Amino acid sequence: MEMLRCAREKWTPGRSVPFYVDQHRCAGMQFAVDYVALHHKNGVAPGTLRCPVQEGATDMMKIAFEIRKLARSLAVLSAILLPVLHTGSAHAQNPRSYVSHNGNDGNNCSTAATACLTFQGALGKTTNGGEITCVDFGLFGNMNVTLSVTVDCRATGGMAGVGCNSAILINAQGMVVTLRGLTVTASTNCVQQGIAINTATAVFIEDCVVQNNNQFGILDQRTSGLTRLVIKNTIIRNNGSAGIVLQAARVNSVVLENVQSVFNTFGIAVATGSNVVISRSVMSENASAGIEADPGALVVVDNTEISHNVNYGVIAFGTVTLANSDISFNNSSILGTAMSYGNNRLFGNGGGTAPTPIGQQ
Amino acid sequence: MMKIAFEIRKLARSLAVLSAMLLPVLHTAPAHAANVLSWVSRTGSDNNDCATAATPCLSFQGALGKTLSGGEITCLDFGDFGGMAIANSVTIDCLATGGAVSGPDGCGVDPIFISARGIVVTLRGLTVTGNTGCIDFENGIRIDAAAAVFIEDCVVENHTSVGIFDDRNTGLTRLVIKNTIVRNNKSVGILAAAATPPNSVVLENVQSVGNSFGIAVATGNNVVISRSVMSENASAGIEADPGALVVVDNTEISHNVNYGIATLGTVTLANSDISFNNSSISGTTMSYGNNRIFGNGAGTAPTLIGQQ
Repeated sequence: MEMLRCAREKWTPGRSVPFYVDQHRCAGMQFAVDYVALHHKNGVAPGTLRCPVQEGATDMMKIAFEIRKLARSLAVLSAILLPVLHTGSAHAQNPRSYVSHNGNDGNNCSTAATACLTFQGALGKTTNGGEITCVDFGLFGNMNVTLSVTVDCRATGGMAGVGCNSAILINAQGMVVTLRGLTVTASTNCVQQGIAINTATAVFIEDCVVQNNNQFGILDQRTSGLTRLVIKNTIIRNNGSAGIVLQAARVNSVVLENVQSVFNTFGIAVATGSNVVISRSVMSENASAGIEADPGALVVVDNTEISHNVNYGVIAFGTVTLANSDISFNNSSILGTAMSYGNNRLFGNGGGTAPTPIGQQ
Repeated sequence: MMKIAFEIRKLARSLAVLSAMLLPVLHTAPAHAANVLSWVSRTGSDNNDCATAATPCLSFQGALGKTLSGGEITCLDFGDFGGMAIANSVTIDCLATGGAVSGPDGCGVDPIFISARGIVVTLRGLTVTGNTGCIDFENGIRIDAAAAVFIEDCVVENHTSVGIFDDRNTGLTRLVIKNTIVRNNKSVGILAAAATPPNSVVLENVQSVGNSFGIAVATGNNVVISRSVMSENASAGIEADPGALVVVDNTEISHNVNYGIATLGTVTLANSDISFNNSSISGTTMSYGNNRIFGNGAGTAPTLIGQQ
C-alpha cells in the first residue's frame, strides 16, 4: 500500500513537496485518508498534512493556493512600495479621484473637498484600476487615458472635450477603460474625434452622449487584436463623419445595446476584423447609411430601427444578419447581400435588395 | 483557472512598475473658450458673462445671447429659467440637475420657439411646462424652422395647445424624440405637421399620454415610433392624415377614449398592443401579424402584410 501510494505521488518519505493544502481538500477523501495514514505512520501529525497539488488537485485548490501566494507577494510589495509612497513623491495615487468645476489640479484630488479641475489632472493622480468621479457638472477638458480606469459621472453629468483635439484618447495597452455618464462634445469648427481608441484590452462606454465632433464620434482603431468594446445607453449625434467606426484588427468583439446613432454620415461603419452585435438600437437620420459593413465584417442586428438614412439603410459588403428590425424610409433599404431571419419589416424605402432568408432555430 | 491565478500574480507584479510610471503624468488644463459652454443658475444674473459656474446667467434667453452657434448651455442647479426663442444651433443639456422652461407668466407664449432655417438644436433634460388654467393658447415646443431638432429626456406638460408642434415648411427636416414624456396637453401631444418633401421623424421610448391625440401626423411626415406608449388620450393614440406614413413597432396603444389608431394615411403595425380603446382602429392599417388587439369596443381589423 505504502509503495503504491508513493509511486503514484512521485513522493518518497522525507522528500519535501512544494504545495500545501488542507487535508480535507485533497483530491478525494480516500486519498486524504490514505495520506493521513501514511504520514501518521511516518510520524507526521495529521494537522501538518502535506500533499502534492499536482496529484488530482481541483481547480479550486490551485486557486486557493495561488491566492495565498499572492497575499504573501502583496506583503512583500507593500514593504517595497510604502517607502516610495511616503517619501514626498509629488502625487499620491488615489483609488478614487474627484473632479469639480471648483477644483484645482494642484490639489491631491482624493476627496470631494480637494477635487481636481480636469480629468487629465485626476488621471495623473489615480491608481491603475482606480476611479474618477464628478462632484458636480463641469467641463473637465480632454483626456489621454493610459491606465485602467473608470470615469463615472453618471450622477452629475460631466463634459469632456470642447478643445480641438480628440476629446478622449485611449492609449492604454492591456488596460480596461470605462466611460460612464459623460458628454463628449466639441466645438463644431474643430477637427477631431469624440473618443479615439488607439490601444486597450477592453473599453466600456455607458450612458454617454458623443456629439458635435466634426469627425468620427467613436473611432476604434486598435491594432493588437483580441480586443473588446461595449457601448450601452448612449447617444451618438451630429458628428461630421461616421457615428461609430470600428476598424480594429481581428478579432475585435463589439456589443451595442440601446445605442442611438443619428444625424452622422453613417450610424456605424464596420471594417473587416470586427464582430458586432447591435440590439435595441436606432441607426437613423444619417447621411450615407445606418449600418455599413466592409468585406470581412460580421454584424448581427436585432430589434433595431434603421430609418430615414439618406442613401441606404444597410450596406452589406460584409456579412449582416437582420432580425426583428425595421428598415424604413431610407432612399434604398439594403445595398449588397444581407441575411434575414424572416421577421424584419422593410417599408417605405425607395428601393433596395431584398435580404436572403435564413432560418431561426 | 490556473491562467487566472497566473494573471493575478502578473497583476501584482505590474502594480509596482505602474505606480512608478504613472507619477509624472502631464497636467494639461484645456482652454475654456468663453461661451462655447454657458451656464444658468437660479441664483445667476443675465448681466454675468455666463461663461463659468461662478458667473452663470439667470435665464436661458440670457445664456443664448452669450453662446456661440454650435455651443452648449447647461444648468448649475434646478430652476425655472424661463422661455426662449432659439435662432442658433445649440445644445441645452440640463439632464444632471433638471431645468424648467415656462413662458412669460406661463400663458399664451410658446415657451420654446425654434425659428431659424438650417440650425441644429438639442434639448435635453428639460421640463417644458405650461398652465392648463390659462385662457390663451400656447404650445410647449414649437419648431417653426430648423434643419434638425433632438429632444431627449424631456417632459412637455400642461400646455393649453400642442405639446410638441413641428410646423416647418422647408422640407427635408429631421426630428428625433427619445426618452421623453408628453403629458396632459389640451391639444395634440406631438403634432408632426411639417411640409413635404419629407420631414423624417423618429420616436423612441416616448410616452404621450393625457392629451387629445398621442401623435398626429400630417402629409409629408414619415414617422417611426418604437418602444413607446400612446395611451390615455381623448381622441386617439395615433392619427395619420392622408399622405402621412407611420411605422409603429413595439408600442402600447391603449385606453384612448375614441380610437387606438385613426388613419386616413398609411400606418404599419408590428409587435404592438392595441388595448382598451373604444375602437381599436379606424381606417386601413397594415399589420405584420404579430400585434395584439384586445379589449377594444370595436374597430377595423388591419390588413396583413408579410415580414421579410
